[in-house]
Amino acid sequence: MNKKIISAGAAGLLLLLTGCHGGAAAKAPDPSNQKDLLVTTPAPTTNLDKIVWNNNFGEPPSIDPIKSADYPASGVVSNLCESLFQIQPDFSIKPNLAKSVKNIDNTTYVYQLQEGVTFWDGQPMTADDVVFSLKRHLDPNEISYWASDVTANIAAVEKTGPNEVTVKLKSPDATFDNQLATPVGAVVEQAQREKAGADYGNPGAGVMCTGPYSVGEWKQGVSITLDRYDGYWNTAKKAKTKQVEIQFITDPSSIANALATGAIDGSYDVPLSAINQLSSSTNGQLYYGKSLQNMAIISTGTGTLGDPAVRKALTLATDREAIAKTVFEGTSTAAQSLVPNGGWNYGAQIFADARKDLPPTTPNIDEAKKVLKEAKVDLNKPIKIVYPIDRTFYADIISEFANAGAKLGLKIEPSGVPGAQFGAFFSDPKARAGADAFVTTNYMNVADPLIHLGAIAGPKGMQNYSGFSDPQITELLAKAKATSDDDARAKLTAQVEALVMDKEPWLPVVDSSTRLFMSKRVTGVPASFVYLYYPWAADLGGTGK
Amino acid sequence: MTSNESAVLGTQPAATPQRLPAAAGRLTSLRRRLGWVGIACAGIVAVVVLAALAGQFLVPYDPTVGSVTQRHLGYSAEHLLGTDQAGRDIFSRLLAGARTSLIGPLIVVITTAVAGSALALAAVWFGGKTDAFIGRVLDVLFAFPSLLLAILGVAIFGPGIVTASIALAVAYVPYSARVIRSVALRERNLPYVKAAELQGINGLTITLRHVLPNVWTQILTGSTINFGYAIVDLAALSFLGLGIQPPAADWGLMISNGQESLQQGFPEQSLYAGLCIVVTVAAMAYIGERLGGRAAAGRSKQ
Repeated sequence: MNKKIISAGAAGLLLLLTGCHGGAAAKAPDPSNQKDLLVTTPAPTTNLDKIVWNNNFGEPPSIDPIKSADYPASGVVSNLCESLFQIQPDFSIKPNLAKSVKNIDNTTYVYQLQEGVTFWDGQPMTADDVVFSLKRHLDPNEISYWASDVTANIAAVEKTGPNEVTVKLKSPDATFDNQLATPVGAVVEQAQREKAGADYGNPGAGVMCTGPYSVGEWKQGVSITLDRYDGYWNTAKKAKTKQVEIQFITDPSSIANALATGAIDGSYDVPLSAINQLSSSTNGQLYYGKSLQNMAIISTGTGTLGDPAVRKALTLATDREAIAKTVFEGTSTAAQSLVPNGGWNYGAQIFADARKDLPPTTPNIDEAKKVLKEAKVDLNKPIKIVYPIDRTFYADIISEFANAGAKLGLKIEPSGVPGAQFGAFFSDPKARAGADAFVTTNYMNVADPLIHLGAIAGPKGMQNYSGFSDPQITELLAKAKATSDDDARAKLTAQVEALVMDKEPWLPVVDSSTRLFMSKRVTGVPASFVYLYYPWAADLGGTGK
Repeated sequence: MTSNESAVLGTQPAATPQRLPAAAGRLTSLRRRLGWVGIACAGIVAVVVLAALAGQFLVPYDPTVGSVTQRHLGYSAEHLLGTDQAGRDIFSRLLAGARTSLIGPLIVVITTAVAGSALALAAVWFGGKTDAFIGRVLDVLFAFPSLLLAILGVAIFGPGIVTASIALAVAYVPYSARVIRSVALRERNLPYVKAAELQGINGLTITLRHVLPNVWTQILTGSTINFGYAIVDLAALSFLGLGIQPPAADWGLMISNGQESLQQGFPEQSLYAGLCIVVTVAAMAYIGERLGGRAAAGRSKQ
């Protein structure tokens, strides 16, 4: 209707001014209830020749698994390169390329490898390939994005039998097997890696892995096609679709229209602006799944926000429930912790109980003012929070934080940077210089709060961007890592969580649900947040419609 | 220029119009120069300038402050045009946006006019190698699309209205300089300039006091037209996130910020900001065309 009014000129403008306000209210699901969130989607009934999917975060810069540490690459590589262990849609971790593991002591792990596993070129996967792959993280020339305190803790990796690999750690780490479900445990063919040289992982040389799909045509800037690997070792999990073309559309409007019209069969991380449009689509269905994602504001440890009292006060004062309800269209809940709600695959009751002792998410200005009195920094200095300018919803969230800050006498300045430039905030300390904080839609690699908290608040954690260090937290992290009993480790981890939330190196904003859309003709992928490390495309098939 | 000097140089002093009753006289003069449509355009520009000057005192709400709890509110007495996705009053942002949407183009046209005139007049006066050198430099700048050059400048010096405006001005200079040069070249060869040289008046004085006033109409006309282009280009830079930064109010930025709301069925923010740009640019362009047309007509009569 509006279009006609506009074209009618001034008279129409008057009508617009006086009456016609577009848009229907969002029909929101209730993601606050964990039980409402899905783990899987209905199983497929038919196999398909081709499915077109979209990677909303764009083109992978590389498909080398050790350089796959973010949304664009991981969502593709998860179908290509497998790890020794694998995360499942229910967040449990199961042996994958490793058939079994035996702990000789709390620092020695002996892995029996699956037999009959072959790379896409038909060559068998050997213990040498596994040793080589694990050692890549220790080789500074390989520049592994997964090199961290976890891999630095590896003392030795050896072939101890024709189909057996032994890993010795410097200090106990009960999370080590879980870590091997990420690209830390990814196995690539040694010979092809050595032959490819500097082009490894690029469209020219590609990779050689064991996954259910191999790399087909890679049209740079447009799409990558995954071809089913018919020699896949796990016959029970053989891909149901012959070809999956993954496009790299990042514009929210284009994604929404492509999904709504059926030009694309499906996509994870449906843009928030498309929720209304797609929830009433007759061409497909929008699913909400269990998630390991949360949105947070990461302090760089400098400026006014470098003071924990300021961070806590700002979190307390901000109406994060309103952010979840409005900006996230009701698909998220206010975050009580930096560990997303339900993000655990052990000690469930312990973590759930511990959450009750964390501060509530309801805004409390009076309490925030009290907390702010403990601050030791100059509160007049503006707080600069950086966000990627192509994701405008971040500006709205920062604006809400600015409102809360104003009530406390704090001045918050949003600062947008181009998306391509923003990525450097996570890898280059120089890029972060001058910023007090930056936003993130973060995720747990696996549902292990200890790994996640260690990455954020451990002195050498992969995601410790501020040099955060607390002796008590460091000591508890080490103690928890050395504890093999799940419940005992969960109790220690819950203590870490409480201490971390008392210091808030990151400001928690919301826990997200996984937003998935699929056309009527396809189904089968997990609805939960496992698509970064689980071969989701192999589960995709037809509905028969 | 004194009247004696005019007589010596053979230039004609501007005709003194017969004094009419003040208001009617001004309107008649304006109508002759612009026509009725032009007067309407001038009225639009005046309103926009007024909004730019006084908008901050007229806005019912702080244009940079909103709450997500107030997002996408419809038309009401409290919010004449509703609220945007961050709960900010759209009417207030349009008013406040007039200032930032005009300051940038103003920087562009002033920088362009000064730099373009200086280069053109220097090329014309010195001629020869200087003219050729300036010409080649301008040719190189011509090779880059203006928006691309501006994006390059912003990428080097960082986003912001001043950076974006100056970067855009650099891209506009070749166009202005070339037009001004062509007019100045004609003036350079006229007898009054030769006469001034024979009198021993130095080049700088002749250029500034005699040539410049005679190319002034061209500069003014070009600036008026450039102003319209600059509004659109700066809006494009803001749209790309390279100009004004949120939460500041700016029409280009409002179009960009409203993209996702458009998809959600709330077109108001982008629609009205776009409308403001279109109307202002059209008005400025029409005035520029009228002034340029009259100047050309005047020249052909001479």
